[in-house]
Amino acid sequence: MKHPRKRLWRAASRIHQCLVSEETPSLYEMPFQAWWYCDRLLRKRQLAQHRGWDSAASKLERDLKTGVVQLIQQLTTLHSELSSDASQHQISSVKELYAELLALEEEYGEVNLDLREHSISVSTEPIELEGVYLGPFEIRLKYANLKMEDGSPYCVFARDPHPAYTNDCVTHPHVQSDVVCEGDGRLAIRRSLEQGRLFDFFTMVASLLRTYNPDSPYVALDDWDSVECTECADVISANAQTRCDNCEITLCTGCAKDCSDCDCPFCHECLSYCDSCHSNCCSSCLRQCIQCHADCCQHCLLENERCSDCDAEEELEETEEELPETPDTTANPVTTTAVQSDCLGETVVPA
Amino acid sequence: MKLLLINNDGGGFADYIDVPAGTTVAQLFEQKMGDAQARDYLIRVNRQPCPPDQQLQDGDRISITPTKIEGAKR
Repeated sequence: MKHPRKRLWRAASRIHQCLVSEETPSLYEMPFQAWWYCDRLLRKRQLAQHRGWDSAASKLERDLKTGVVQLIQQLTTLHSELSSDASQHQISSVKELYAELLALEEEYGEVNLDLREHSISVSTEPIELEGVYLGPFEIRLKYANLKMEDGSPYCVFARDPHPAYTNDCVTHPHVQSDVVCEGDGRLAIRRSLEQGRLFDFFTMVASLLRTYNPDSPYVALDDWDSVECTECADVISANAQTRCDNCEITLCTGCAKDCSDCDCPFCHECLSYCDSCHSNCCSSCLRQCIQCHADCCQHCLLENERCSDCDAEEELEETEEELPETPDTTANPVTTTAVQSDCLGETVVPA
Repeated sequence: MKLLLINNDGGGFADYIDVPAGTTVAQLFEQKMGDAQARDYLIRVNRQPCPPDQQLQDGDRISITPTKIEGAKR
């Protein structure tokens, strides 16, 4: 839906008021943040080299190279602006802002203006990056804070959210909690806001949303539908995950152990062992031997609720009790013949 | 003739530049962006889409915006 021209003009006029009232004497800023970032990386790299952590040192070196490139870029931009005769007071006029709003309508089809909330928003087409559907995004700019003094003046809302499996707040590899991390676009986006170049601003944020930087995402697209094993922290695809049947933590197939009785998966903490055969067994399946109180799996606990050791012992005892006292079978049969004394069994009969 | 060039690649600075009359959009792009590919940029003249052979006019406003901007966690 296109807005009446009068409404667009009114919006342009309000945005201009905000821009003018927020105008500061200088737009220049030294890239201290980038400088200190590089400085930190340099120190970390030296420390890693000193301690012989070669892998960490080489990773830090890569990060440092990227950081230095960004620092150079920011300094070059500053130099270009200082050299430019058009860099100062380039705030768009009401007429230009009106033209910006018209261009936005043409580009995005619909521009949502909320003059009470001082906001203006457009929506992108449904975005899909490397085969991962992320859905359309609404880019909403609060034009009352174009100088970014109260944080970012804009947010990015997923209109059909398909967040990362591991983090609901990450709706896009470069968007967390509706805030976009601008990366390479930071300076250009900031400059466009300061100067009221609305079309450039929305175009750049939309470009950022359509681009994936695999080197620095909140959640990598490869891991978008992946989860982390709670025990070993390995990243596994969501459909390959297992949950502990007792505490329900997420496990990879390597960390999940099946109970030998019920075959349910368990984590290391929730799984016990049979004292008799030492196989994996969950606490629900373990039973105590009524005699020795050992924890036994179903295979090792017999019908009489004794473990096989106790059962064997019991059986032996019973057998011993049932048998009559027998002479020593190893003795000599000749010598074992009872020698009875003379007159045994006879008695004196009175006459 | 004098043009306002807004290069959103990198810092996003705006500058007034002098170019010979008859300069086309493609020529200006090549002059300012070097080896960069035009297909990787959204080029607008006075906020309107333009063909590469469009001749620029005095006072035109040209914006060059990359279509791929890499975000980052930091």
